[in-house]
Amino acid sequence: MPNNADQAILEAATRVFETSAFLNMYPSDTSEEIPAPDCAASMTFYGAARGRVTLRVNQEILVSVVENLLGESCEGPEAEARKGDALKELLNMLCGNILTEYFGTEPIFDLSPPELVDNATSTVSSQQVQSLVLNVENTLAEVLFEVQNQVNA
Amino acid sequence: MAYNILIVDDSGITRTVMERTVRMCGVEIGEVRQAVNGKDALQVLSDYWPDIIFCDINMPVMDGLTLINELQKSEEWKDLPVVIVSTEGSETRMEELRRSGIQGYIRKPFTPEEVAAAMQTLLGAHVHAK
Repeated sequence: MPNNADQAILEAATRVFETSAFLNMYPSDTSEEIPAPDCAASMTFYGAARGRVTLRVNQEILVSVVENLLGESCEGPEAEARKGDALKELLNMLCGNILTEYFGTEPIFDLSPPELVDNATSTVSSQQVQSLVLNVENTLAEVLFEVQNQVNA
Repeated sequence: MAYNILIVDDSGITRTVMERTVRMCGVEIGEVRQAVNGKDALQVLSDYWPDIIFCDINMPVMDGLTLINELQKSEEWKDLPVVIVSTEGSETRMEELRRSGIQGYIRKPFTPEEVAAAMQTLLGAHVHAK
């Protein structure tokens, strides 16, 4: 994939993590000895191009996301469901913003609902996948952006 | 004047975040109700009179565009301001939505200032200093 995919992911991730969840982040690498991703969500897009965006994060950061988004503590019987919803909402925002950063504002895309996926199987290896590792408040996160075919971009 | 709000989104966390943001945006807010899709919103509107709707596009059962079309057909609701809240970044899609009758658009992630600006523009709402 072209180099600007990296930039598109970074621009979108910065906007989503910092504006919505008030979390600081910066590009990193997997050598950092901080909590690694242990959960993931994924969604597909189709229209001017088809593909998939996957977000892998550590559950620790989802607690902060829920608390910052909702302004209440992430505890009790609904904590797991809330963390899952928070991850899906982060991914939803990320996907929409990556598509605009990468393809511009002309093409129209339809998005599938975000779904929680098995973290172990969410790491795909293909030349068509751009991956960006991030340090989000001292936990690792990874964004995978896969474009399977491109029609008008 | 306190404004009544209807928030329509299939994501519970987004509805909660939207309500929280609306309540902290500096505009005096009255009652806030929530609906999980367009069909649910039409049911809520049978006994609730909001001043403005904040609505997602992609929802199961009845999406935001269909809801807007239904409101346009109603004598009672055709002038009710609808603001789309979405990750959508396509100008082409936005133009379609504007032709369908939306009055505003807020892109996720959003800030309280953007919500206040939409209410100021569409309702003439006074924004209190925070």
